[in-house]
Amino acid sequence: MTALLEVRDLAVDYPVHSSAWGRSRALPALRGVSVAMGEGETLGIVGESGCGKSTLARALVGLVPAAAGEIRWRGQVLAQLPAAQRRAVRREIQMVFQDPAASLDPRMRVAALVAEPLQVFAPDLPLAQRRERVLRMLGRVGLGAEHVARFPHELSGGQCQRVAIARALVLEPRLLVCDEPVSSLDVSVQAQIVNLLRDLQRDLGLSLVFISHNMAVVRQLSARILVMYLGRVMELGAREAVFAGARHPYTRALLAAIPPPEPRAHRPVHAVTSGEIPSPLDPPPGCVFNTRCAWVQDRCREAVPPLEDAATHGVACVRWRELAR
Amino acid sequence: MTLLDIRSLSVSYAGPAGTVHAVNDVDFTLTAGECVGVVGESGSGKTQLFLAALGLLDATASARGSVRLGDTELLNAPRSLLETVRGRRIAYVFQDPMTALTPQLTIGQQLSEVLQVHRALGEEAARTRSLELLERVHIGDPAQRLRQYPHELSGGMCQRVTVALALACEPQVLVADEPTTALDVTVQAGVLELLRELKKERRLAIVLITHDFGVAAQLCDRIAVMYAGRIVESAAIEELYAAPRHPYTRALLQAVPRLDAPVAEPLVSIRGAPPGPGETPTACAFAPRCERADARCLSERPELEGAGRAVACHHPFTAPRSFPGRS
Repeated sequence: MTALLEVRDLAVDYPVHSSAWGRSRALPALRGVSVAMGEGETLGIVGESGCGKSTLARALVGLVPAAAGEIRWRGQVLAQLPAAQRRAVRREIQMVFQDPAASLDPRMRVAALVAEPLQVFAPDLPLAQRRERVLRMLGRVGLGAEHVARFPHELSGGQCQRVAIARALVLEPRLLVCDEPVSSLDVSVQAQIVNLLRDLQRDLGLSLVFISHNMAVVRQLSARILVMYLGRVMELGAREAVFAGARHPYTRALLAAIPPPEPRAHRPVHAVTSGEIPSPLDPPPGCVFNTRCAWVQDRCREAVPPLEDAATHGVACVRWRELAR
Repeated sequence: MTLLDIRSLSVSYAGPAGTVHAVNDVDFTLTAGECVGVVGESGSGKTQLFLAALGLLDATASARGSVRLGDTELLNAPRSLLETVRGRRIAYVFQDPMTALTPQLTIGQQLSEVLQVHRALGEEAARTRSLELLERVHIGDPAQRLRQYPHELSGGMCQRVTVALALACEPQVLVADEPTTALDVTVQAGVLELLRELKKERRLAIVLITHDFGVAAQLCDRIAVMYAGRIVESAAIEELYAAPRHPYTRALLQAVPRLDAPVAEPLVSIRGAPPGPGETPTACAFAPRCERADARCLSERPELEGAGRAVACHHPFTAPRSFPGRS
């Protein structure tokens, strides 16, 4: 069976102007990322700022070009498709952004915001049908007739994110990419949106890429977890395997740093990893985590560790077997 | 001994659509060596409360009530008085370390300025003390850091510098406003550890303003929960987490996503959204979202009642809460 989405050895660079004469150098935002997803599967991407999770999301929807590697959709390499076909694929992959206040045009009303993708991709759709689909979608995300004529500033943060989700889903995509969709929301509202995404994913059989720095939120929505650090994949495995038996020292440090929700419940949080994330312009040689890893050895500085055991529970660490014991 | 004593503090803004009440009638006390968490969602008034206490409000705001630091009344005090108090006796650490530091000055210049102005130290003494302060907040290679500008440091490092600045004059009280919210979780752990150390070793009294119950649980002895400009519940930390009495506190605690929650079940959510800034509820502000609300809640505002363990609710919970995934 061909996967719905397959990313192979993907690299993305951002040009950085570093000299006064405008000569630019490349910031390696993503290196050697490979991951595949089937129809109806959910993938959570976690990691700290600068790890490349948003870049990967943007590459999936075609907002940033690949410097190397490829993205396949139903087996076809996206970059090699003729423009018309690529456009048809774009319709099947939609995205929800972090800040709904910034991703929704402040001068458009809710109905127009949700209708816009239909105008672009299905301009021939009769008005009555367009209206019907917009209203149905709004109802599906929990917004009613009273919201249709409102502007984004007249809605709460949670309602704005519902509009953004309706806008992404009105084209009936097969893959929804959500980049930190609940990070700007208050806790009391965050749960509503997480539950909505979970229901939509199940009911519509959507494939979902869910990106967040909040491991507990990702865990709720993703059957598989991809852990990234400085543009590279550290670990990739089933939810239960990653959360209960993390193999990579970085994943372990990340999990250990999360404050438990109750006072003195288990342990005070200790900084399991020291130091700070190196500049992505200048990633360390070898394993990119080696400057902060408690288990570092000389060989970790020599070569980039391959993703071992990739078929089941992938880990990019040369010492994972010793650490698992 | 009570260090900081806030009584009936209200903050309001005159807006084009009428007066906006940011903080309503809040009482708050802090004793030496204690850490009190002020937990609330955006717009709950938690930041406004302490900006008012330190006289840092916008010119369009007005504050009523009383804020006493020891014997000194701070609320609406003249600037000359505030300048002898702020930094020296009470200091503020802001959420975003990158905007709290001046981009044009080196770390060394910023630390020295504080020490020369407030402590009248000479240049050399200020430099020595700056080095000590950076070491105190566990910044490696402090001599090098003194020569650097904020943009040359990472976010976590900058937040340590702002803590060092706040500690420069050895204040009795530190107000830390979401000090780790802008930081990654692995860096957050280090900053929390630093605050815990300062509390223990220097008996520094800390107000921790946060939206994150997990962060509050790491550090606080007591918690005050704010909603729509009022404190709705306050209690010692173990009590609050084990048996929250206010329906809002309980729902908020249940809504926090947990690593040990069963994934098959939906998260506990609270319907609706907090009231907007223009809305001034005359009854219980949480009533429209509350599952226990009745006619009384919609017409009569519950007062914050009880000493030590206080709750503002007509129908508070009395039993301990259950934990998701643990029965």
